[in-house]
Amino acid sequence: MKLDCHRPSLLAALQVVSGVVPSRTPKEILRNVKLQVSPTATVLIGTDQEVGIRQEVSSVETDSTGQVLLPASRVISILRELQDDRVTLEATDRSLVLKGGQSQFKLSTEDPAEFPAVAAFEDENYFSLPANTFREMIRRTVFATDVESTRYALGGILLEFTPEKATLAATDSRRLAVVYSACVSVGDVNLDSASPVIPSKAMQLIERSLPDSDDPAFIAIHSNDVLVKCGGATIYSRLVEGRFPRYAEVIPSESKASVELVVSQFYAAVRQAQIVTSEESRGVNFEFSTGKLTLASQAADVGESNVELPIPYEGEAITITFDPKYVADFLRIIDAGSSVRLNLIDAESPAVFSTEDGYRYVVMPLSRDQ
Amino acid sequence: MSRIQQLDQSIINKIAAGEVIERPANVVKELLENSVDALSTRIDVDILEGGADLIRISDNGEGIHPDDIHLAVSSHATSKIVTAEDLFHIQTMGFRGEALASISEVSNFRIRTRQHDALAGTEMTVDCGKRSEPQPVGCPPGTTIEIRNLFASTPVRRKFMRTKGTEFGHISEQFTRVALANPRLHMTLRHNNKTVFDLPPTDRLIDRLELFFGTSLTEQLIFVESEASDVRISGYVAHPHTSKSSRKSQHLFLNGRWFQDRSIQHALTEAYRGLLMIGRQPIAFLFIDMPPSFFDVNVHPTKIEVRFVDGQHLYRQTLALIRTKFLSMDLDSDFKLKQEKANSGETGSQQKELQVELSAWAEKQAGAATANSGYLGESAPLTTWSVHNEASRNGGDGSSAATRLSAAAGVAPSIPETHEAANEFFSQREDETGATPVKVDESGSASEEAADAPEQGAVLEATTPGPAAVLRGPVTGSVSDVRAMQILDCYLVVDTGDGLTIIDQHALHERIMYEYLRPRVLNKSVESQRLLIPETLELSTKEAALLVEHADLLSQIGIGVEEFGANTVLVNAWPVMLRRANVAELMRDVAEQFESHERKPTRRDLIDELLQMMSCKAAIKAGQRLAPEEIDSLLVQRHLVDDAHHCVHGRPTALILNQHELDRQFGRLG
Repeated sequence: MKLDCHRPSLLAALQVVSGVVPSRTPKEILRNVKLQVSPTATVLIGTDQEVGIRQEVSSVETDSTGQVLLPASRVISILRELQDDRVTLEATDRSLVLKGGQSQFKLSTEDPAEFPAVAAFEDENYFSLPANTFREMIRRTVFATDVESTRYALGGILLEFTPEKATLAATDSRRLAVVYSACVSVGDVNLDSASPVIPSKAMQLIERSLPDSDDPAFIAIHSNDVLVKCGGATIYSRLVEGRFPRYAEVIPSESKASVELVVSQFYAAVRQAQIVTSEESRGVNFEFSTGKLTLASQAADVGESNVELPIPYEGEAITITFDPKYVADFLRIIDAGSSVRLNLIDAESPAVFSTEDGYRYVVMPLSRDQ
Repeated sequence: MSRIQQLDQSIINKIAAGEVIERPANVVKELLENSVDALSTRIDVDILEGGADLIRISDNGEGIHPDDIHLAVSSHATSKIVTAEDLFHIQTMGFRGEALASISEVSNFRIRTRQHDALAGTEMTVDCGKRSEPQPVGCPPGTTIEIRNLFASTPVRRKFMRTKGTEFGHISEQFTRVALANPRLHMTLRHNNKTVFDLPPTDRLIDRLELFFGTSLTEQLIFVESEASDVRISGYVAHPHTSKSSRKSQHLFLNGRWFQDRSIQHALTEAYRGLLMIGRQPIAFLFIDMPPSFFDVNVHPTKIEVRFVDGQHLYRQTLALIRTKFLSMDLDSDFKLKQEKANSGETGSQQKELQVELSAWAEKQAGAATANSGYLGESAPLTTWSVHNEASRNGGDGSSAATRLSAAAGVAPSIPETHEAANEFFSQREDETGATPVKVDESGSASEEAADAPEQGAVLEATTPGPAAVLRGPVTGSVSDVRAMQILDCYLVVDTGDGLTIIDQHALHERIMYEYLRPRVLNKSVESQRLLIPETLELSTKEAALLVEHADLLSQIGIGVEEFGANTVLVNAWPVMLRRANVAELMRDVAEQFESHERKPTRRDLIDELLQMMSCKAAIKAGQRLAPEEIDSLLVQRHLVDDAHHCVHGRPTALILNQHELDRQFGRLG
């Protein structure tokens, strides 16, 4: 089998796929990426058996078909070092010869037949939504997952589909991020199993491989796994087992105080207040009073901070304590020029941040004296 | 104006009853003691409704002569003593001659008794002081006493009785005390016609302990025994792994009588110092036998306190007994560790030598303590030793002390017998114990002392008796210029300027964490993250109930707990500082802690325990490699905490070898 490839395209594809290649694994073979050449396409396949990815490589010229295992990290190093536009790959039974310009590399390879299979997207019933929308939805939720939780469902993002609406939710039990958008269903989708929990690792991978365009992304949900296809990339992931909490119930429907905050100013103030916190002393008091928000933090053995911010607030004065990290996590992913609305009930109830496009972020306050 | 009148006997008895008979359990105690004094081999106790309705005690003892039966229920009538002189040689449990008179005054009382050689028995009833004529009656040999309607004639006291469960609990406690003191006695206890205890006679106390306290405790018990000048102490003490939060499990018996003594309890605490966590109390069953002339029981109406002629001696004998035992035992919290080290390689052999030396040292200390008590036992008054002590203090310098000590080391194993050799040693020993404990406890003054008398440094270091002698805490050097290295990824070796200190990194860090958390909890400044989505924990029904029951307490350390069905608990708030801990695992441990308490522990105890557990989980572990900065930071913090010399579980955090000790090991002192 012999191929002539456009080096930057191959490198880019390989780098996407290597996102799933485990760095430490008892199964050595998983540290490879499979290159599969068929008459219709050339595909790179990587998997850690939880998550898998099939990535098409463009600008490949070849007459042959077949498959070979590429030792991922070495091949990436080589492709990075080479300067030439095109490289040739020649695979024999046990070895791979890689040539570019004046350089030639011969790498020993493992048997491609032993590499675990990664499902391809062959579904006819699936949901579809624009790639850039889906990408933004993932960005707005994935940070709120908790992969270390003993409740495995919290290590993933919940996807809820109706024929017209897709909702993503993630929580680490201290805060919750919920975002939705319109979607389209294709074929005869089964709505009963349309709320899978996908591991955050897979979601990050999906986010990275989705293009920033409104090309459609297809999502096919099976009972144990999910496939997402967009353009030349197909990502396979096992679903997280365990029940995702009924998130809708914890979002307060009413509030006693409401204020509009400009993201850039508010984020800057939170970052400042965050400096004077420590591992053990997280709390920052958010004191809302007429026309003014004061962020006051005090950490034993560190010091104190006091940050003021003019705000259009006119209600009763209210003080609530947050771990500023949770607030900052949210503000970081919002467009700095926009504004968010914060709804409060009291110092002990969840606070709800929301944006105009329906993104909601619920944070539970800290309490000092019970 | 009323006139003074002589009270009649019935009122006198009622007043006396007030002193001795406070609740049904007192009746049981008095009657059981009578039965024991009557040389019974079997005693049966029947209780109805916590003793309010019926207390019946039957024995197969000597019985009472028919002619004496009136006297038995008269006050100050007893067979147990005759003259005032006898008061100081009491061999029996009772002697005051008050019990039956008092009891029969306040209840419906019936006695049936038959002496073994008599053909028939005698029965008499007393209804609140009104005696019937004794009647001949058929009955088995021995005495049976039935008390119905206790406090019938003193309704107020009857009203003050607690629930029958509580009252029976007290009865059971009295029964236990007698049963432990007399394992050869066959005893049964029945409540509301259900057998609670049926204790077969046994020669082995441990069997009886097992019946009462279960195998889990008896497996942890260590037999101890010592005898010095007519005072014999024997019994069991628990391995330091097992302890209680109160002194309730310290059972002391003097010549077969249960009693309380602060001094001996203190000796127990001292003997376990450094082996138990703070706030924990040792478990002990100690039986002291001594001639009646050595003590006075006539100080307390129910005889639960005793005055000793030489309490100091008893204190020291108890202390020495337990320490000697522990030192010979390799309690794994300290000495085992060192053996493992000794086994490894060439450096090991040197280490081992050192080890042997060190433990020989410690053993000598304990040996000396025994010897010393023996010495005192030979009626050397306390004043003599302090003079003696003074003399040797002024006379002895460091090196001669060391020589004498090593001489004494040779005789240490046989010390109890060879008093003379021991005495010589003991003079030195007293010097140390008498003069230094206060100083040794505080690092500051210890260093002062070391500066004053450098030659005595080693003596001082090693003086804290018992295991603590070898493994001791406070660093006297300043921190700024410490040089430290980590060995085995587990210990830090620090040059302290006058020797070296080996620190257990986990134990120290655990202590630091604990000291860090504790003031915050006590000041209620614990930050708690409320949970948007509470975590549900599936537990056993009992664990769940315990957690919910202690919800208030848990909230003080930032854990919010809520009931959620029978065996499920919701955790709705979690302390910020425990962010990384596994909620489910920690809560199970907490529930276990609650469960292990028999009765409701105090808030402070619980908070302390929880903090200990948390700090243990949060601390760096043994086997964790530390960066130099981490080591420095750990050592700096060491001086910030109140109690750096042992970890929260009472294990020592550091082992000290000072220059004097090193010089001695290498033969530089000659």
